[in-house]
Order: sequence, then structure tokens, then C-alpha cells
Amino acid sequence: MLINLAPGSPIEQKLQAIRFGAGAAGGGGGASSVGGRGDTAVNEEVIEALKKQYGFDKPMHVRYVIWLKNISRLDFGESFTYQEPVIDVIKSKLPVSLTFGLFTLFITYMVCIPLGVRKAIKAGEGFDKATTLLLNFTYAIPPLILGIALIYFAGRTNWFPLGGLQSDDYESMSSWGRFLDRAHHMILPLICYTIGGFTELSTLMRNSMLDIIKSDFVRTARAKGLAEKVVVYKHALRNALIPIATGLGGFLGVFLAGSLIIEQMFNLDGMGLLGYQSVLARDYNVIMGITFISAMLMMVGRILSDVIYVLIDPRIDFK
Amino acid sequence: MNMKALLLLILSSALTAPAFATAPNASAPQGGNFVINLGGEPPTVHPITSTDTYASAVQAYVCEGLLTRDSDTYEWKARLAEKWEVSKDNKVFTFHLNKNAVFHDGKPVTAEDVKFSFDAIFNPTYEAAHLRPYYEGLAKVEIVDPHTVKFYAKDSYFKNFESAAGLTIIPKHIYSDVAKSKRMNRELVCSGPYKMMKFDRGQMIQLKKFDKWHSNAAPAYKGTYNFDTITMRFFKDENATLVRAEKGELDYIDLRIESFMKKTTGPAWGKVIIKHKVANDAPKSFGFVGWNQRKELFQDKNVRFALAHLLNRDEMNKKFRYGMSDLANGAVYIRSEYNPGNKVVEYNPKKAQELLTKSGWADADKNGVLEKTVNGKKMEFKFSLIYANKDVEKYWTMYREDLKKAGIDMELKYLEWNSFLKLVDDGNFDAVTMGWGGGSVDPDPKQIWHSSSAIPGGSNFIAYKNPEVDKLIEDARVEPNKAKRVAMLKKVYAKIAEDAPYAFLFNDKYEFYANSSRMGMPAETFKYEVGKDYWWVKP
Repeated sequence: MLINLAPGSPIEQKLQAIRFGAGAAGGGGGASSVGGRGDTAVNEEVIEALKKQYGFDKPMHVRYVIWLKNISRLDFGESFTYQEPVIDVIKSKLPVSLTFGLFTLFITYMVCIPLGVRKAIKAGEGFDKATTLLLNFTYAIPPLILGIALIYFAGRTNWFPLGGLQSDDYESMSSWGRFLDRAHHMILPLICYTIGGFTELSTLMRNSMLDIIKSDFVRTARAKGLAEKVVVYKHALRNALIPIATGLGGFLGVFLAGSLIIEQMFNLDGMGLLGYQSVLARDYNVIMGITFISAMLMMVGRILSDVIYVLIDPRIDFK
Repeated sequence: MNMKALLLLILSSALTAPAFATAPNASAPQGGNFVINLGGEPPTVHPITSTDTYASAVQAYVCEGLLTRDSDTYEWKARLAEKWEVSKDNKVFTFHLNKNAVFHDGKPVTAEDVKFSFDAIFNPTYEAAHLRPYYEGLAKVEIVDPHTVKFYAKDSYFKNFESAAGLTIIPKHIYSDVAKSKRMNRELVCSGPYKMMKFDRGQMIQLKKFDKWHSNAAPAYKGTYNFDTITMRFFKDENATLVRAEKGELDYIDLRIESFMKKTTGPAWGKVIIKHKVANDAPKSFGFVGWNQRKELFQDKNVRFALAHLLNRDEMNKKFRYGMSDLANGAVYIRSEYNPGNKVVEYNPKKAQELLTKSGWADADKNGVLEKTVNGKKMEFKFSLIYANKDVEKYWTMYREDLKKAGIDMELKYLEWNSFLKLVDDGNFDAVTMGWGGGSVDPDPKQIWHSSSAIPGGSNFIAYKNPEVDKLIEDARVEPNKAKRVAMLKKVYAKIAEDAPYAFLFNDKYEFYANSSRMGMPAETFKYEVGKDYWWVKP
């Protein structure tokens, strides 16, 4: 409902295309006059035809009820911009963001958990200080600047592709060749995606681990004569993971949203770009479809977190 | 005269030959791939339902109309129609189709397809409402025989023929099934010189030369469409696009002036990729500040001229445009034959002061802002300027300071495009700045300047009204003789400049682009376009 209140609507997007030429829809400043008849504002007949075309001839609350009925069958309607069902538009973009999201998640957790543990064990030592410094530096790098730098780097060295998901001759490659090609194309964007994410998670892991190490049951475990490795990885780590698990579910929704900047820079056709372009074009059906799916994924993510809680700490249950 | 001097004379004559009067190279090598960047991916390439520039760029190669314009003379050239006639009253246009023309699926192009292409625009099921304004001057299309059609116009408007000649002809047997063809957002079947081979989402579109194109052997098209294939990329980020061009991955890119001046250094430039700065007669856009005539403040011509005299365009041109722009002298491109040669309004604060004083503006209370008493009420010289493009803020910051020195208080308001357009459409602003594209080589000023366009959503959003201008515009529209029309419209543009409803800003003097060193070309530019359809891949 709220998005209907923003100025502009798909009808106005189409009217602009007529008045200003097709290039102005998302832009600002420059515009061009129509090359056609050169008459005045688009006449009422055309406006009414456009309204009917998009279903805007019905009041907002009726449209909402229709929308609810439709989404119960996973029918989000048709994209005004793509002339395609919304579910198909999202389906074509989701794999891109999903792939990067999952890899980012995997890399981030696989690096940060061991790093956090090690930082906790060596708290206050040189390793801890050096890595903290490094992580704060990477945290401060904007993805935009890093992206530009990486593109110039790739342009000069020829070690990495400049963007896109795959090479042009992808279809003619062997399975292994395709895998390598995709992986090669993903490296630079993944660096941009992951660079800022290490800091928070590592710090959280480190602090969580420190708290656990100082607790009574760890002291008891040591008193029993258990090896340090067993104390750290069998007893302490498991408990320290509880706060880490809290955020895991949320990542699911966040990474699936993609990143507009990284997608635009590396020419990836994912959800971030789709969301942005849909908002600019006032493509309501796509916006609502994305919002709905994101909300669902967020909920699934939370449930997943709860399940992980139980696995980590059997004392927790949700009876 | 000795031989050396004679030789020098001949050489210098050749070197100073006119830049235009060029022609395609009839012996241009054939073959190879041409790679361009669309700048974004078209959501759909459907010939009726698409509305964006990316789709238009694809359709320009894959689809075609009945006629096309020559790049140097702007005369009509045969395309799908090999012959045509226009009635004396300029209301009936007869086109004779080329009997060799076929669509990409091999089916012949017939009069049925022309009629269908026209009727589809007015058929509600095609959702083509956005196209109708371009064709509403035409009443109907009549089939005379399988290869002859007649277009009937409702009136004698001079652009009706252009609408008919430019109508994109699409195959009836494919697009008449509405539900089915609407799904064809990544397929396109037409009759143009290239056919669409593939559309890889997120990656590229590839076109291939259509070997059965009707004019492949025609003398008029020798040296045109020399590439075997055309690849269209969807790179959105400018820096990434430039890096790719430097690696030789793109054969043509448009350049912004800032990019041309600052980002075309480096070892690749001049070797892998070559930049060009060209001047041609393709109509260029002009920026403007529009004064809302609904506001009492701007109804005084002296005020409007004073505001224009306080605009330091020379300084702006030097600082922000590298001196590469002409100062616009009115509402039509300075190089256009329709331009009456108006005097440029120069930066002159002293003159501005005189005009303001003459109109009764003074700073009686010495608070730095001019005021005036109107009907016993004090009115201060304050207004806001709305804009939707952050890039131009530097101009207006400069202008605001210059206005302040003259006792005028201008507030700057940046707005997101849709919010901006809402205010513009409602006439709910003081002053507005944006630009108009160059439009047609043969302009029709009605859309912007006629009083009938001064309605909500109309392009005359400043509500400019001049009955003499209205009359001249109406008469020019139905004048079939071009020379007479030029004379009439020169008067229109002269009167508009006299009224100063806008402060006109700049006309770009040049187009900037770059091409890979693989490209051969007959010239840097033709008279009305760069002419990359005539390029070839060097052997």
C-alpha cells in the first residue's frame, strides 16, 4: 500500500516515455522531446487505456484483496516492465544473488569462526592485535571503491574476468571447464561481497569465546585434566556458537537481496539491481513480489536459527 | 607557379575539403563482429510493448519501416517500400512494397503486414497506448494490392508522412496472436538487415546479418551493414565499460565530455582505442531554466531578461564544460536551419540592475533582498529552483551567488525524478531547470511552446502563451513547402527568444565517442549522425 503513495506510478512511467522519449524513464535532468506528432500532453483516451491495461481502474483496497488472493497461489501478477510474470522475473535473477549470498555466507563463517577462536585464545597477544587492525581496515573499505580498484586491476593484469557470470563460450565447455569458468568470474565480486563482513562476525566470535573460556565449567573441565584442545573445541566452542547462530538466519534474507553496487559494477543481473530498477520504474508487482519473498526467507531464516540452537545446546527446547 | 607550389595547393585544397558530403564506402570489407554496449539490458524486445532505449537500439537493426533517412542529405531512401507517392493535399501516401522483402522466418512482407502493424497500435489488446500519439494524425491504412498500401491522414500536418514512413512493419502471422507474442520478450522477428540470433539474459544479445534482406545488393545500401554479426553488451558501470574498451572488447562507446577529457589517457588510447570529438548537425539538446509564467514575479519581461543577464554562462562553459559548448540562443539548435540567429543574452550584471530598477525593484530596507510594492503589498524577490539531477548543482550554486549579489534570493531544491515531475506537471514550482533533447531535424514547436500545451502534464509547463506564436505554429504545421515552413518557424523561435520564457543555457557543440582500432570508417561523422552503420572491420 505504501508504495502506491510514492509519487509516480507505472502509468506515469509510460506517459514519460511518450513525452520525453524512452530514455528518460529512470533518469533526471536531460530529457528529449518526442519525435512524433509533437502534440501536447497525452490525451485522456490514452491515459484511460493505460490505467485499464495495468488494473489501476480499481480502487486500492480492491487491488489489495485481489493481490492477496493471487499470492496464495504464488501468482504475483505480471511485471509492468518485463511483460513477464513476476515469479519468472524473480526466478531469473534469484540464482545470481543466491549463489553469491551462499558463497559469501560460507566463506564468512568458515573464516570468522576459526579466526575468532584463535583470537580469543591469544587475546591481547600480537596475533590478536594485528588481526584486529587488519579487520578494521577491511571493514572501512567501501565496496564501491574496492570494486573500481579491482576492475582496473583486472583490466591491467588479465588475471581475472572484468565481470559477468561466465564467458561467452561457456556453452561449449566441459562440465569441469564450466565450473572453473564460473568460479573464475566469481572471485572479484566475492571479494567485494565478503570484505566488510569478516570484522563483525570475528569480533563477535572472539568475545563470545572469551566469555565462555572464563566460565566455571571450562575451569572444571581443565581441572579434570582434559587437554586444552578438547577443552576449547569440544566444550567451549559449542557454547560460544549460540550467539553466532542468532545471526545466521538473518543472513539468509540479507544476502538474497543482493547488492546494487556490486551487481552494477560487475555486470551481474541479480536481485539488488532488480529491486532498485523496479522501485525507479514503479513496477509495483515486482516490488511486492520481492518484498513478500524476502519476508518469507527472513522467517525461514529465523526458524533455521532456532533449529540450530537446539543442535548446539540440547538444553534449549521450544516445548 | 612551380610544381611544388601547385602540389601544395592541391594538397591543401584536399585537406580543407568540406567535412561532409561523405558517403559509405561501396567497397567496404564485409564480415566480422561489431561489439557495442547498450548500457543496460532491455526487459523486453517486443516491437510493440517495449518502451526503453535498449530495446530501440536492438530494433533499429532487426526491424525497419517503409523508408529511412539518408545520413547526409536527410532525404528519404527506399527501405521496405521501393517507391512512394504523396497526394497534392499531403493527406494520402501510397507506398509500393519491395517484392523481394521477407521476414526473418522467410515469409514475404505484404500489404497485410503493413495494415496489421498500423491497426495493432490502436487495438487495446496490444497495450500499445504509449505509441498512439505518434500515429494519431493518420486515419487508416488501406490495402490496394498485395504490395501496395495507402495511408490516409486526418489533416495536412507535415509530419504525417514521417509517421507513415517510419512505422515499424511487423509480421502479422507472428504477432497477431496477442497472448502468445507477448511472451516473446527475448525473441524478435522482423524484416531488417540483421536477425536476432540469441539473447542471453544478463550477458548479451547477438544479431546476425540477414542474408535474404531485400536491399543487400541495392546500390543505395552498398557499404552499409558490413558486419556479419553484432554483439550487444549490457555493461552499466561507466568505469568498467571504459576498462573493457581499453582492452579492445568494445568497438564503439559514447563518451561524456568529462570522460572524454579525463578518462581517455593511458597507453591503450590512440592504439587499441581511438577517441573522437565531432561536430555535426544532428540536433543537440539544450538546457534551460524555465520561469513559471503563472507566478506574478516572472510575468515581467524585464525580470526574466535580468535573470538571464545574471547567468554567467561563459564562466560555466569554461569551468564545467571545458569550453566545449555553444551558448544557446533560443529554443532550437544553434546550427539548425530553423535558427533565426537570435542575439545571445550575455552576462551583464549592470544591465540586469537597470532592468530591475526600471521594473520597480529596489532594496529599500537594505537587507540584501530586492523588493517592490504591488497593490500596496511588499513583494520580495525570492524564488526556488527545482532540479532532478545532482550533476548540475554546481551551476546553480554559482548562479545563486551571482543572484545574491544582485539582491535576489534563490533557493535550490533537489528532488527525485518522480517527485520533480509531479511538481512540474502540476505547475507547482517557481523555476525549473532541465533539458530538452534535440528532437527532429525538422522541428515542430507545438509540444513545448503552444498555449494548448499549457495544461497539467503538458510540456508547456511554464504556461507560455503568445497568440502570435500559436498562430504561426498552427500555420507552419500544415505548410507542405519546407522553405516556407522554415521562414515561419524562424519567426516563432525569434519571438520566443524575445519573450525569454526560459533562460536558455547551452547547446553541445560536439559529440564524443571512441572506436576500437579494428574499425574502418568512411568518415568520423556524417552530417546528421556518426554513421556507424557504415563501419567495417579492417582486414
